[in-house]
Amino acid sequence: MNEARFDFAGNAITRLCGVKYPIFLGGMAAISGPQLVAAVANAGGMGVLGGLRLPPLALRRWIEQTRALTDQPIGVNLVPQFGGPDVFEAQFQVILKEKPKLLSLFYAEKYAADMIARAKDAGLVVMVQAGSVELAHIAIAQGADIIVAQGSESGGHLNRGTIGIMPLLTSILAVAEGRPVLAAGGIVNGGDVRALMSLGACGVVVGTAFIATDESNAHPLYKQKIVEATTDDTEYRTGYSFGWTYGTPHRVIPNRDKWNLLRFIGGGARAIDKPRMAKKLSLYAGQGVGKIHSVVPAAERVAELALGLPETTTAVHPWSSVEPEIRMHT
Amino acid sequence: MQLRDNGLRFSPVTVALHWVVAFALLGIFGLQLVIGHACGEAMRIELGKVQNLLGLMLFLVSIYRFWARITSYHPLPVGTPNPIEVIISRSVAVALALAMVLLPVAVWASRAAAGEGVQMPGGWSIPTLLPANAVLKRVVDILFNIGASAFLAGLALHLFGAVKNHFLLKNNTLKRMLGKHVEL
Repeated sequence: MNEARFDFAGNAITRLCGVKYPIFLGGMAAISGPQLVAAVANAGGMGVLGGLRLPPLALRRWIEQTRALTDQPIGVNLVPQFGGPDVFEAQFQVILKEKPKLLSLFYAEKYAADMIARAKDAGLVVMVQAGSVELAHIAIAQGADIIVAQGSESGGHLNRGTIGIMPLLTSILAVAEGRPVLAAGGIVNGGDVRALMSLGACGVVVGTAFIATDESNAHPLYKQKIVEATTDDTEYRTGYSFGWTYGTPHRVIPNRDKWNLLRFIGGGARAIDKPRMAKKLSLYAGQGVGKIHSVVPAAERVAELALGLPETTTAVHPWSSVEPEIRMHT
Repeated sequence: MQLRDNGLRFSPVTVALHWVVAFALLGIFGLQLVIGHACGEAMRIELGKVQNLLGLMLFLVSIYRFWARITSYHPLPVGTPNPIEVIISRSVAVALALAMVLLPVAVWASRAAAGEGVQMPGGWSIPTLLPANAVLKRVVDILFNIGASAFLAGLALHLFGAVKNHFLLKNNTLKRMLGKHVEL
């Protein structure tokens, strides 16, 4: 491990979010729980809780449990589509009360115009994942502080995930009006981080690589499948995935068992689920899966990713020089 | 008052109609048993009319329930259930609601095809809009038997799920359907 990289000087994202490294944990539903989020946060990254499918009381409990494990900034990812507007509003009320540093939104275009303003008024940094330039435009118009360019290489759900990270990142950077843009999709090690930051990304969002960590809520068999999968093994799908509208794009390691009907369902298997869930579902994973060779502590994964951070940073965009408090209210 | 379900709770209307339907079904099944053991044709006919009335009520309520079910968000499950179980339980609930719309229609169609009206208490009857036709009756009866068998299997699963949640998992799923406010 290259300890020298721990001297990363910081950039717009780290200053905005108050973290050491611009390495964000993807807010994966049920998988990014308190232990994983705290581990990433304690290692210097931004831990983001997977708030999708969490009833409001459980969301509050997860935030409290995370805060008991770390005093570092944390974020929460919400997906308004799930459960309807009442669930989202109730979750949002929890967020406004608990005030995590970061609110991450996905598939939120219909709600974000109102929510982003309210979240920013409450002092939160708002990050929106976009899989196209059009969605990035919408997020910018709605006031997002950070845009995540979600490339089609990403695992799990995509919005809409037909553009690779290289063209998407550079195109979103061109319209971001100086806002920090994070890259997501197939990022699992320092080399990936280096490549995307050299293209102008302010940081990265990593999902699949954090599934295969000791602290993730994933079932051991799910972690095992991540470790065993090769780069060729993932598949882009638009069928059914648990809890989502039919047709929502997602990337999985497809299950090939002929007589197993559950293979048509995309999902993630939690540690509390029965082993057959991990054995039979087609499990969410991104295209970087072939470069994940072991289950490691999350801190080790963060350190590995941090190896790709530039040793010195330059304020490329005027945005970077603006104080976070000012930027959040622009 | 909350008129429609949302992701956090059932509306009182849903809870009330759920139990109206449950008791109407119990009534129909119970009357079928009584009719089987009734002595005298007149008694059987009168009980049959009451059964028809319950069926009509079930049909009308079920039209609303099915519409409400497919156009509203459903409350989040209690606890942390297996996703597959959630998919199955919700599919079964929707299928039951649909079956309670279709099966009464099949009964009416079968009787109409046999040239009989559906008699109600008080001398009322539902008009037979279909021509008497033995082949049509046979087809409708076959469809009814398939649908009724699937309905009973679904009902058994539905009851099993309720019992499992209440007695084995000891959560608030059944209590929520009895009107208890469960904070999610």
